[in-house]
Amino acid sequence: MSGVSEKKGKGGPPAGSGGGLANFLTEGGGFLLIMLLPALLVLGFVIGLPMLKALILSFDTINFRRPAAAGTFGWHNYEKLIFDAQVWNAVWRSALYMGGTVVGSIVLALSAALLTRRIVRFRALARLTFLIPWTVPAVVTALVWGVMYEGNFGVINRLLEPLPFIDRADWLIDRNTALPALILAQVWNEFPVAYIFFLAGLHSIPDELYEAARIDRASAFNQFRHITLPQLSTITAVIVILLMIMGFKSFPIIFILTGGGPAGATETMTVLTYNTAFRKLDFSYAATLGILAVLISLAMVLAYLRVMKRAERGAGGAV
Amino acid sequence: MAHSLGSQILRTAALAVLGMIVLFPVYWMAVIALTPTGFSRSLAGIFPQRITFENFAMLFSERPMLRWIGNSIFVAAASSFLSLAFGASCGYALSRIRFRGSGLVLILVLATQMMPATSIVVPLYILFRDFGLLDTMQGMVLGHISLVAPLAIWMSKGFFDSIPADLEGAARIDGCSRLSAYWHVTLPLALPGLAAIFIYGFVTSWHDFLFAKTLINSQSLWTAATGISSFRGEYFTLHELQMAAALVFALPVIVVFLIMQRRIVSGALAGSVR
Amino acid sequence: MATVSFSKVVKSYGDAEVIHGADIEIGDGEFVVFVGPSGCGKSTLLRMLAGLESISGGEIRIGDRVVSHLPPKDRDVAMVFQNYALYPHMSVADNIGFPLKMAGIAPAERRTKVAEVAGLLGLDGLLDRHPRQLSGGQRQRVAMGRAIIRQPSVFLFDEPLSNSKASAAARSGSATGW
Repeated sequence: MSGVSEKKGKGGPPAGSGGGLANFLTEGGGFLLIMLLPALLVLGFVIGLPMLKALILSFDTINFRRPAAAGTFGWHNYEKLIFDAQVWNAVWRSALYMGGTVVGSIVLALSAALLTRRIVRFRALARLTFLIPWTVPAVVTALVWGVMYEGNFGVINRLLEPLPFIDRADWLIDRNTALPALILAQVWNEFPVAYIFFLAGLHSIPDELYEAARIDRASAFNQFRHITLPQLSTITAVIVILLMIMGFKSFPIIFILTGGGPAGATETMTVLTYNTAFRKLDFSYAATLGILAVLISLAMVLAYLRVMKRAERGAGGAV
Repeated sequence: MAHSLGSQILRTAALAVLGMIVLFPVYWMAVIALTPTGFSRSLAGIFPQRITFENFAMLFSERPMLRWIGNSIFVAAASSFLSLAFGASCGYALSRIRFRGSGLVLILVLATQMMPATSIVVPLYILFRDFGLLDTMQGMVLGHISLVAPLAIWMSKGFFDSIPADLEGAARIDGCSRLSAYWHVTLPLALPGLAAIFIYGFVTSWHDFLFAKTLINSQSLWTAATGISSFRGEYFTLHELQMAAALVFALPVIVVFLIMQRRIVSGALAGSVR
Repeated sequence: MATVSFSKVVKSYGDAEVIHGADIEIGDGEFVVFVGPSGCGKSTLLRMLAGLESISGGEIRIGDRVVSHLPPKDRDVAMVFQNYALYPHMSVADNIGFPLKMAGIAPAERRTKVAEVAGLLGLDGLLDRHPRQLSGGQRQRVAMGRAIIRQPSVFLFDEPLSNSKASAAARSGSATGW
């Protein structure tokens, strides 16, 4: 290991050290500025400015139904928020929606990943099958599931008809089935993300672990329980948070299929924010709700970063 | 894992059933789209009985589908191009230059990507109203940049991370400034990655529903996403037309995915797990 | 013609000081080898001389010019990197000719110089190839060609023996002291 420094005996022409400003722009701190500034300006305009505006709106009273109230500044939106049962119900419904999509997606994705893991023939086809729903736009997901859920002619009711004990239902109109029906559509659309992660996670488990377990006569179930599951724990944490964030953000599926109904049974934070602004035209209160949503997602982002850091540290020493 | 023939067959059967269930909605969309208008409700089984393309013809002749698709393509292309133009250099700076606050910039970029778009769209609506950008294509492009630019920054940082820094070192010794090393060496090498980001951004914009729904009012400026979603409700009984529209809207992305799937999957994994 | 001198050069990353006041004088035409365990700062020293790493204190001179804070392009040094750092998207000819292109030399003159250097290094038939189509030894020669074409006043060579072919050549005594 040696570094060799050698110089040729021919003195090349000393390159002029350029003007101060030109060098500053192409080499020094100016270069950093050139690279960062355009993006930061653009982001400032399309994200920073709106966030600032949201903050201002949340202290103002911009309600197109009551234009006279504009300019009344104060904490009133926040005071209202704290005691607004509709808001906390929406937070709870978002939590249910997130919980449902997380559990559903993980069960579906893990089953699919375990099933496609060791197959030899049609491997690519099998993987593609479970990735296709990911490429379907949320709007299309909503329309297709809407057609399938339809009460009178929907294919789901028709397929369930021969089965005993299950009644035909107006899935999206019934208060009790609407939220689970939406969750199922969301799971179908988003589980491929979890599937990819699980495939990668399973791929990184060394075969020797299973060989050792077989020598120790562990049953297939015990191998799953004592090798596969623990080895997947970190990646599962990443997936859970990612799916929670995706579920919290979800809008088109809920909005198109139920609009928050029936009677508010599916009104999550995003739908409530939209309805408050664009149906009730109370933009100040909607902005306040938006800020609450940002705070909630910020907490999840921080959790995500923590888990990712742990995952990166653990990646080197998987065994 | 046990390798007996019985368990093998069981696994294969389970896989086939699960696969069919997962693909069913896509299949069903196609079946209804190909069924003559009004006949889908009388379908007896789950197989098409008479195949027709009249729904697709109707979509383009009696509804402004072509115009909506055109709008979508324009908005998606413009917003991803601009996001990439601004975002790539930012991603480069975040990847290569250590400076105070770079960690904060990264976290902020990530956070904007992960918060609900409804939180942005409410104040954006009021701002655009003041700026006269509501119901304009420029406004839509700007709105979509807020969706795509954070993505472009985050992803391009990942691509630049994978290009050895020594190449720029060599270029700078060979007479380049930092800027020209970026231009002559790094950028050409990142081109395939940037193309992938462009496609990803294009798809993100193409799929968007919320911004299109709120920032645009005139039917002639609707994107395909808002256009096809309007079929639900307004033409409530026309399931066939609805599904034909959904298929037309979804198919290009599915095809692109099938062509690029290997890269997309490995890219998604590289960006998030490793 | 150039001498190189480090005086009291310090390098630290945050609180960690990795070079603690290096004083080195290298005469004109001298051939110097830095030897030491990995991680002792040989590469850092070279990179500071080339301008790829900033210095935290002290002074570096090439000839009678103080270069401590000049960008690499203004220092008139050339360097062969440990992994050669060939530009993957350029042909061998473009790789070797790149320093001349950056110096603003006309294409025609560039071509003759590249051909000259390629002949010297036995790369004649390979000018249209890309780095990935070359063997390790060929890559090293391309990297050397790129370094010598501009006749720099200082020539840096990071870990020249880490390539197995090159080290075999060195052992058999056929290394040509570039």
